[in-house]
Amino acid sequence: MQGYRKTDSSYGFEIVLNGIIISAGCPSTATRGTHLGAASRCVPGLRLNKLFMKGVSLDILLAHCTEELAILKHKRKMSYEFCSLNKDIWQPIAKNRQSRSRLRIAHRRRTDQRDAMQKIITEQKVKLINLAGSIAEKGFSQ
Amino acid sequence: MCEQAFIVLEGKTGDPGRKLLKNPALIVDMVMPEGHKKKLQKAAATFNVKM
Repeated sequence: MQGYRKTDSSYGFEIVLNGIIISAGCPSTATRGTHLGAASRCVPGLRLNKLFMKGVSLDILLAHCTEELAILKHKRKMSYEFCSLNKDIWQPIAKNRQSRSRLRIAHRRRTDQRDAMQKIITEQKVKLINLAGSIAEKGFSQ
Repeated sequence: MCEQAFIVLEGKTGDPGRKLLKNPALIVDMVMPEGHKKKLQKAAATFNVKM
C-alpha cells in the first residue's frame, strides 16, 4: 500500500479479505490510552500470514483495506503501515482459551462482527451513545 | 522489525461508535433502547466521515 509509511499511532479498523471481515478494530481488551508495545511481536506480515491467511500476501490483504485506510488518513492526517495491522494480530496471542475462541468467532463472518458490536453496545450502554455523540460533534481524539 | 509502540486512540467503545455513525442503517438492527437509537441517528446525521 503506497503512501502509508510511517506509523506512530494506531486506530481500529477492519481488514477485509474477499468480502469477509477477518479482523477489526483494536484488541477487544484495549481501551483508549492503552499502550501497545513489544517490538518482538511487531514483525510485519509474519504473524498475520501464519494466523489468519496462510499463503496470502500482505499486499493482497492491504488492497482490501483501501477504504478504511483512506478514511483514517483523512481523519488523522497520519499515515499507516503494516505496523498498524500487527496490532490486530496480537489478539490471537491471548493467553487463555476463552478469549482466543472469542476472538476467532469475531473474525469468521460478517454476522459475527455484528454480534461483537451488539455485545459491546449491550455492555457499554449509554457510554457508547455519549461517545458516538461526542465523535459526531467534536471528531476523534487527536 | 518495527520498533515503535502504539497507543490506542479509540478503544472497543469508540470503534463501534464510529461504525454506527458511518453506517446509520446498523443502528436499526442493533438491540438497544429506542431513546439511544434516536440519539445515535441524530449524531449520525451530523457526523462527517472526513472530520
